[in-house]
Amino acid sequence: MTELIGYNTALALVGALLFGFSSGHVGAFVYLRKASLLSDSLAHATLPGLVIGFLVSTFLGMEEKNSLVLLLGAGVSALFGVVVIQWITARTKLGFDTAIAAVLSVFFGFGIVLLTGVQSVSVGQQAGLEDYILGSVSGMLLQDVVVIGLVSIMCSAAVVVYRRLLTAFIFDPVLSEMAGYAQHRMSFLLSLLTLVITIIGLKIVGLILVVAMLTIPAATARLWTTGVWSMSLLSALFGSVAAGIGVIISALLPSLPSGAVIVVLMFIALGLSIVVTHLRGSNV
Amino acid sequence: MSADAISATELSVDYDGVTAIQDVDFTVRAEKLTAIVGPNGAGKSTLIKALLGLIPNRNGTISCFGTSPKQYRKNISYVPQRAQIDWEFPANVFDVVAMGLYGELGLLRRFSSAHKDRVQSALTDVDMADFAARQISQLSGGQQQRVFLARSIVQDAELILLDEPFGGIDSKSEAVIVDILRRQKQHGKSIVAVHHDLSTVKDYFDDVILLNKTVTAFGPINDVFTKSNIEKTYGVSNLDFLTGRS
Repeated sequence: MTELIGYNTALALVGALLFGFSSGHVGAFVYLRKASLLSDSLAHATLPGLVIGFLVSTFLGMEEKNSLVLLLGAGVSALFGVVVIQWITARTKLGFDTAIAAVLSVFFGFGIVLLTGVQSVSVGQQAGLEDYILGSVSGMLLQDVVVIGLVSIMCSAAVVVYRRLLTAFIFDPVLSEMAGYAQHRMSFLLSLLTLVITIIGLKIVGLILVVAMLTIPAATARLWTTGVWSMSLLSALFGSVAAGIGVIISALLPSLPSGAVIVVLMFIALGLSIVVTHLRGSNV
Repeated sequence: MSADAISATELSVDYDGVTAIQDVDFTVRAEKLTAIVGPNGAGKSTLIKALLGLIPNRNGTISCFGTSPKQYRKNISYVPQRAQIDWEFPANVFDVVAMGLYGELGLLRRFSSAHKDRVQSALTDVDMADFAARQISQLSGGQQQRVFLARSIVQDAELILLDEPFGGIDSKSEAVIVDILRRQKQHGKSIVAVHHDLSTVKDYFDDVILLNKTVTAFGPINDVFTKSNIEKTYGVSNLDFLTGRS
């Protein structure tokens, strides 16, 4: 395999297959919870943290591409975005949608300002930063793949363990609360999974498009299935296949960002699914 | 068994920062069908939430069979309003009833054939056994309500709380559901339902709680479901057209 596509691409492929699987797996529950917009907002809110993480790692004299520091920054930044959304929703008269739109655009705008500043003073090799916006697997290192792979497996394992409670929580929150799992805890669990998937997906898909990994495979799977568990598995399969093929195409045609290729592939699958299920009349 | 399923003393509950229930005292007899009746905004759903232990009381106490709602929680099953549920959710009738066992199954316990039998038997109890594989989006309102009742039966809770079980369903389904509730009562269950239709209170229920922020009256229908009490609760006179049978 590595002889055919090269070591770097093989690494990226492993990461993409695992990430695609778990993002589809988690995405099914995000989709059913109707939390797609929240995840998009969260993804855009990672940018300031990414840039700050980049600056920190540069000034501390680490390697410029110490992705762990960058991802940590992204995570903190996104978490802050979520806190702001919750604060706006709880403490002001503004609605959830307004809070999401405000955080999404303001955080992203602030991140772009920071990014432009970093580029103009040209500290370190900031080229790597842009990879996180649209996704690029060309510079993927073994350590990146190990992190992405392990975290993906952990997210999927969490979905397997909590599948019943997540299902009950989304369908009828009072039921899961009465079963001993408080709504805020279940909500936190799902948000945490969304956050983690978003962060590890930055490198492969990029922050602008990572929301697609959490929604399009799930929406496609929804058309073909009638139960939560089968839906989440099919969604995981769709995500994995699309991410895998996308990474290979992007490796063969390096000018194409991997994130965009993956999203186009997923869109084709969704479009075909809509047409076929509609024609079969099985659109339940 | 204690004679009272629920007793509330000097209970006040806020909802969204507004006093929804003010200083109420009442008891609910065990193994009876009790209706909570009152006008819109009377705090009926808030009272149910407080009984479920989902919202804290500002003042006073609630006890369910002598303990707090939170401690008693595993012995309470709740049937939500149909309108609060997303019926496009990918689940069939069997899946929804099986959810009643999730509390018991916890995270990892296997869903065994004994569990499957319990789900099937609950579906038989509500006469929905033939619909086990049907998607919930393809059910009528009455069937949806029966599925939730089956879920409640499978939970095997002592206390069943229902929020408007007859909301938006036809009278034939209503009769079927009343029948199911009566059978549950015979099996020793205590049942409390928010109810809107004053004209059927006498036919369906044993006891009533008349609520409008405060409790106007509570107890056996024949004693307390009187014209003057109803008028006091609704704050209007001349309700004869609603209570035609009384």
